[in-house]
Amino acid sequence: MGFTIFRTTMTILICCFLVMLFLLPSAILRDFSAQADDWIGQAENALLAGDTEAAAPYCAALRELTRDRMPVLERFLNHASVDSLDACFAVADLSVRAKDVCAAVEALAEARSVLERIEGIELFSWNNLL
Amino acid sequence: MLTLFLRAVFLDLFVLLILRLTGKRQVSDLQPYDLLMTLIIADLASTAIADTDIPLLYSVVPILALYLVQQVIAKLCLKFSPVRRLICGTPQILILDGVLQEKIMQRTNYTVRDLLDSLRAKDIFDVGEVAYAILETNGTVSILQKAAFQQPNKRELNLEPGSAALSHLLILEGKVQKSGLETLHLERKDVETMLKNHGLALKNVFFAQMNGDGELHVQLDRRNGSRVMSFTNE
Repeated sequence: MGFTIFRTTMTILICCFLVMLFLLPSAILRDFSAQADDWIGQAENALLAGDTEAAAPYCAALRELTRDRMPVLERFLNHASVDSLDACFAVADLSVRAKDVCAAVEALAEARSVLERIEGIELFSWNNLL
Repeated sequence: MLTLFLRAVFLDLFVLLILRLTGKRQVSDLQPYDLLMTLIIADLASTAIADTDIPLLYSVVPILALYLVQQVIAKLCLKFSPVRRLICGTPQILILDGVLQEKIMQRTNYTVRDLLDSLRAKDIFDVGEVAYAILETNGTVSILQKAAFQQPNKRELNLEPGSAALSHLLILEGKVQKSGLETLHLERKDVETMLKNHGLALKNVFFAQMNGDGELHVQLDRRNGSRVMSFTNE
């Protein structure tokens, strides 16, 4: 009887834990990628207009954002993906500071692609399910 | 390295908890489906142990999912017999009234050699002694011998049945076992007195067990020649 109660309690706790895991990481990732996507767009627009000064704060902010969220993101995302995103933002930041527009745009494009890949894997979609 | 060590410890404890929650104690209890689940759980756990690039949740979540599915299936099997038949199968009679059931053996891929192996494992060396052999859903074979080959029981022989109470461990490596004392409603000093009455000291006892009739089975430790003796409380 005692074990049955323990098992039932554990099963309920496991269900709650799983529901939390279904909701919380998706919300964190959505929030992060919305913010990152916005800043990538702003930085890209500035760089395409040849304005590295305007792009610099966005690139720095992207790097900062990733560094800040990294410990949380790595709890539920593949560490290699998060590292690769961080590396892309670091390259973009350094390239903007060195006024290398091509390298910065390339790094931001790669970061966007990594971000899309992470979203594709982590956020629920029927495509992923199959 | 410390990370790998700690991940291994965590996942080992986690898998242990999950396997205990499933309620199965040994491999022979497992249905093929349960065995498959256990193997998948082991594989999932080993992936996250070895690869620190993967968050622990990548192993924990699928393991929890498998546990939940297993619990749901177990509940369905308990409540609905058609589900149980579908998931676990039904016992198959391999020998019916002493006759090997060729068709069923073919259907279950159970060869005559397999059957003879199972019979020998149950100390039966002649198929002629068997009335029924049933292939259970967990793969074991249950056997009912023909009446002529069955061992007579005490009732048939009109013998005093005696008690069927369990024996309890009282002393292990010189230490009195509290659980045994509580079950048998004894005090530590009762055990010491029993031993003293037979010239024994508690510290010299390697193992002692008391059966339902109050008979104490004692084995002394190696220093005392591993001597074995049995006596009652009188």
